[in-house]
Amino acid sequence: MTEGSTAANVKAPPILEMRDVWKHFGGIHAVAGATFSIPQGSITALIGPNGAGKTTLFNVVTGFYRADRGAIVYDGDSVFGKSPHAIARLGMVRTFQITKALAAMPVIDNMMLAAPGQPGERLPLLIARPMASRRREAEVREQALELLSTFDLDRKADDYAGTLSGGQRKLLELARALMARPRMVLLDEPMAGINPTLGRRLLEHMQDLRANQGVTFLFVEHDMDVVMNHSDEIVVMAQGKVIVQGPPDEVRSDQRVIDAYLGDAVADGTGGNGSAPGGEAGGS
Amino acid sequence: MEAGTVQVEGRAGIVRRAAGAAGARPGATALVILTLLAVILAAAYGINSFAQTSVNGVISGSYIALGAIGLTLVYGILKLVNFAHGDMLTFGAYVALLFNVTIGLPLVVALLVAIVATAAIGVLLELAMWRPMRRKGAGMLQLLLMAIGLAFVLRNGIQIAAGTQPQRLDVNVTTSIEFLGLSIGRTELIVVVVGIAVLLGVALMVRHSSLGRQMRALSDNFDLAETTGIDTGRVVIITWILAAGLAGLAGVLVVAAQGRLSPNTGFFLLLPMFAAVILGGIGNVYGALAGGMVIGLSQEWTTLFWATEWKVVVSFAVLILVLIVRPQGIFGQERTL
Amino acid sequence: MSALAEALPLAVSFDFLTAWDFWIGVGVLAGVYGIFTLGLQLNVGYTGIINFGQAGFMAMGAYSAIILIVDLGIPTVFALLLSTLITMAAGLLIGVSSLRLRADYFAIATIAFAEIIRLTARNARDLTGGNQGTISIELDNDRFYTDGWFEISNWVRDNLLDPIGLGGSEFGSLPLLILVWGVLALLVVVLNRLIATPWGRVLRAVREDEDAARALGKNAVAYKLQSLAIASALGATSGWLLALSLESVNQDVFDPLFTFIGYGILVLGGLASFAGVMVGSVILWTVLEGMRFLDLPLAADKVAALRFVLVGLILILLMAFRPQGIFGKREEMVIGD
Repeated sequence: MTEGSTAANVKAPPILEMRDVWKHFGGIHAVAGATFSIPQGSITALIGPNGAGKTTLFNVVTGFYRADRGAIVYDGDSVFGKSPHAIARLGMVRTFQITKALAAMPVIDNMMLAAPGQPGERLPLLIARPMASRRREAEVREQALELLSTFDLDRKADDYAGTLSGGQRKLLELARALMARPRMVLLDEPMAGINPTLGRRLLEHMQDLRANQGVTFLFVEHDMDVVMNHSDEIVVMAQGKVIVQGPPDEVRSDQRVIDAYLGDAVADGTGGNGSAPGGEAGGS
Repeated sequence: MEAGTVQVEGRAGIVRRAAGAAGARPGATALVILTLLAVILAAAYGINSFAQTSVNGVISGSYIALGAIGLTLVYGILKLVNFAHGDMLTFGAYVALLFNVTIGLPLVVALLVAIVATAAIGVLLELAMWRPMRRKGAGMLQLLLMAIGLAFVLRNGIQIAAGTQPQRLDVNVTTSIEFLGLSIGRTELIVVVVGIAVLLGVALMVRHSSLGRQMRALSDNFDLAETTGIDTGRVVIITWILAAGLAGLAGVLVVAAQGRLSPNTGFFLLLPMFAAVILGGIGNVYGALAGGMVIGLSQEWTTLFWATEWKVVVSFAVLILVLIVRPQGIFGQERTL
Repeated sequence: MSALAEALPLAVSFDFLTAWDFWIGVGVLAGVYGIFTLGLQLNVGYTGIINFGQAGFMAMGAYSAIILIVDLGIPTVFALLLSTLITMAAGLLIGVSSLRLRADYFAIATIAFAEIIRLTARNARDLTGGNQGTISIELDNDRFYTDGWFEISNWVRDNLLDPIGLGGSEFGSLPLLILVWGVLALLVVVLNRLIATPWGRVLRAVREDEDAARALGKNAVAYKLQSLAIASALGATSGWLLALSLESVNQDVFDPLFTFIGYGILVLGGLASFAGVMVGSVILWTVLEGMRFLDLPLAADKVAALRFVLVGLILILLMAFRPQGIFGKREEMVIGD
């Protein structure tokens, strides 16, 4: 089941590059000089022990935190200091660790919200060009229903998103992210709290999108099985820095990575059960 | 440190760096600004006028600060924006009025009764209203509107019971003391002394006692504090006793200093108290003290060049300014959530 | 017309001409505050921002309209439009400076702004007539109401109402009632349509979770700003309508207390329901004003206080036991943090 790096386009420039990025919070350096690059069209996993700075990094890349210094280059342009909505508009869409499915809105509204280029969302256009808004709205609705059906959520279209199960909400969040026609999707622990079947479906979707539309995926994940077997590239963080970046085979046996996890496991007093990459329950 | 998602917006270049430097030593910056203002005003309006208004400022600052402590403690620990706090001051004042003027007891006794009564009301409300709502998982807007409703009930209830006519406590408001060319009423002086003494006492207690440590733990992270074995219910009750009791005391001091009491007295102080709380940093007792003094002083200083009606506008302006420039106040931490 | 001035809960006299006159006056108040609360509904119920400054916008609308018409002689319709725009500008200013703050800070900032507006109106004697003077609009002079409104009002009375027997003097305020409720109904329809558009959808997303909206490319702050601007326009509209209904405009009418009456209407009718606002307003004002007819063994000013106690109790009880109000939808209640 190991995917090779065939789909990753190594000749094209990386879609995302970070160089020496720092972010601190009141004396603690959550990100301390992180450097890595994400190849276009790849499925890359971001891993590391707890407290390594992964979610902070996500927040920095997507504009929710402002980095102290460093370079963040997306698709050739710097996005340092850009606001989250501007970055999302450039085609970099993210999901959240704790799903942010908008529970007080129907599923279909969740989906339609994400579509780009809606004149009806801007007051002046809404008033001046009502026909154009309505047309686009109908278009978006159709697209949304289609997308929902590929995730088997179309029957729930008119229900409030709050009535969905946890797993369904995760799917909704992913489907919603895709409505935005992203070039790059950042997923924060997509596999957390969902059953393996659903997880596999999610991964299949990711593979499809990568193959058919060239969407790049970067995800934070703790499930080493998924990481080792379904990603082209792995970025390993520890203590705010990137310590290793490479394909799964290289990373799996890299001593630095094992140290980082074991160090964490020793500190925890655990045996690093399943969370160390090179260890017992690792990939097949 | 994985932190939650939040947008931290920055400002451009040089301004950011200067702001950063000032922000790193907020207490010092505030003091510098205040001193600068003082110097300018003293130079423009004469030392004597300036000093007199400063004396007045310290007087009002001490009761604003006393009221602000209760407000900041409840805000910091319970995350409750208690719009009814001003009316607790009023309540305390009216209880004192009842015992001092109507029943005829000496003011000190009436004061003690007022403090106890207001503290009791605070605890009662916690047990009957706030605690059940917290258990229900009530959100901020719900609690906010309930506090506002409570303010209506308290203020107008007092009006029904005691009427709208302004009244006075049985205190000496005429004797004044002269020193260095300035005059201060004897009662006002007592207000300042009592006020500052209590303020410092409470601040020290919160800083150094184990109870104070527990209160700060709850303020930082309520749920976490619960898991570390702190009896949060007890600490919350004590917080209310403190907050409400201080409010009662502050109410009496206000009336003693200002010489008149009406059902709106406490409510008129609410926004200045909020200004003090936000200026000093929510949940910070020293901050409430500093904030109260700054608000009191700046309000009185404006009488140097504006009519007295505009006095209160200053505290609103300070409030807005602080919220825009440094929402966490002088002594608060930049919060990520 | 005098009945309308007395219809405000601040006035305590019971002097009204006839029951019809009185209740039409109540109807006008309900309509005016309905429009006022529509703004709050848009902000709180549909955008998730807590606007406590609506009374300030009402004040701006009223005073600017009057100044434009009476002092500057601008034709009525243009003046009303202009005053709405001026108020929107103020709303934008407040928004730009304060909307990045978290919800409770923003709420406090809006009260501070509203109070600054009110106190400025009170103290700036030359412009608005100050505290003593309120702007007195005489109805049988060549002024604002006579030119524009008086004519229309008379026309309506003579041609539409008289034929059906409603032309008598006790129905004098009927044209105003029709105007106010016409505007209110129209606004409810417009707002309902607006909220169903893609724009409204973004607003609702921002209400529930700003970060989620941002992650999908929506500029949350911009939408909040628009919401506040529209609310300020609605506040302004209710302001000049109120001015139309009163003989004189006194700054006490714009006390933050009225913003909270608006919130009473809001929670009564229910969050996220524009139509509910109409119902809530009618109920609340009927109860408030209807209490005048109760034969209570209380002095007049105490009855006034009792009415506010009632408002407070409504707020508390609704928030405790039925936060979604009459028409609110439980699923859409996301302001519970």
